[in-house]
Amino acid sequence: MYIKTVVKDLFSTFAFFMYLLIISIVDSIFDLNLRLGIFLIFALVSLFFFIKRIYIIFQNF
Amino acid sequence: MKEKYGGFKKRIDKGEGMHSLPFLNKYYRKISNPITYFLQKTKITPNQITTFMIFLGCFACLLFVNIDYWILGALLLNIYVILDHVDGDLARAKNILSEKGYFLDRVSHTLMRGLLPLAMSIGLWRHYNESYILIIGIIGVYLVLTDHIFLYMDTIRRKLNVY
Repeated sequence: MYIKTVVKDLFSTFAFFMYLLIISIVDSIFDLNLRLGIFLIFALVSLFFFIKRIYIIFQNF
Repeated sequence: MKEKYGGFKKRIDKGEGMHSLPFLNKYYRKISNPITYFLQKTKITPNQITTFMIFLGCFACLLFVNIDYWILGALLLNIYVILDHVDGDLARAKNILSEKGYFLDRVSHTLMRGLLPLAMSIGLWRHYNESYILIIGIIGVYLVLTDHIFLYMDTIRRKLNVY
C-alpha cells in the first residue's frame, strides 16, 4: 500500500514540477538534452492517464 | 487566545483531502505550514492567494517559451505548488471553505496543466526547430484538458448519483 502511494506521488503533477526544476538545472550545466526527454515523458504520462480515465468512465456505464 | 504553531499544525493536518499525496506533501508542508500560520493572522483571503497563483502560474508558463528561463519557470511552479497548499490550509484555518474557492482552485489547476505542455513545446520547438515537438505539445494539451473535463463530469455524476 505504501509503495502504491509513493508511486502515485512520483507520477503526480507536483512531482513533475520538482523533476522539471532538477532537470532544468542539470541540463543547463551539462547540456544533455534532458528537457526534451522530460517533455516526451510528460506527453506519454498524459496519454496514459487519458486512456485510464476513458477506461474508468466506460467501465461505469 | 493566541494559538501556538504546534497546535495549529495538528489542526491543519487533520483536514479533509490532506493525505492525497502523503509522500510529497510531507516536504511541501514543511514550507507551506509556517506561511499559512503567518497568513491566518492577516486579512489575506484564500481566494486572493488562488488568484495570485493563477497569475503566477501563467507567468511561469510564459517563461517556458524561452528555453533559457526554464529554471526560473520551474522555480515559480514549485512556489505555485506551495501556494496551492497554503490557500486550502488557510481556508481550513480561517474556517471559510467555499464552493467559489474550490472552483477557483480547479480553474487554476486546469489552466496550468493546459498551458504548461503548450509553453514547453513552444520553447523546445524554438530551440530544436523540429515541428513534431509542437504537434506533440498540442496533442498533450488536448489530452490533459479532455482528461480534466472527464474528471469533472465524473465528479458531477458521482455528486448527482447519475449512473
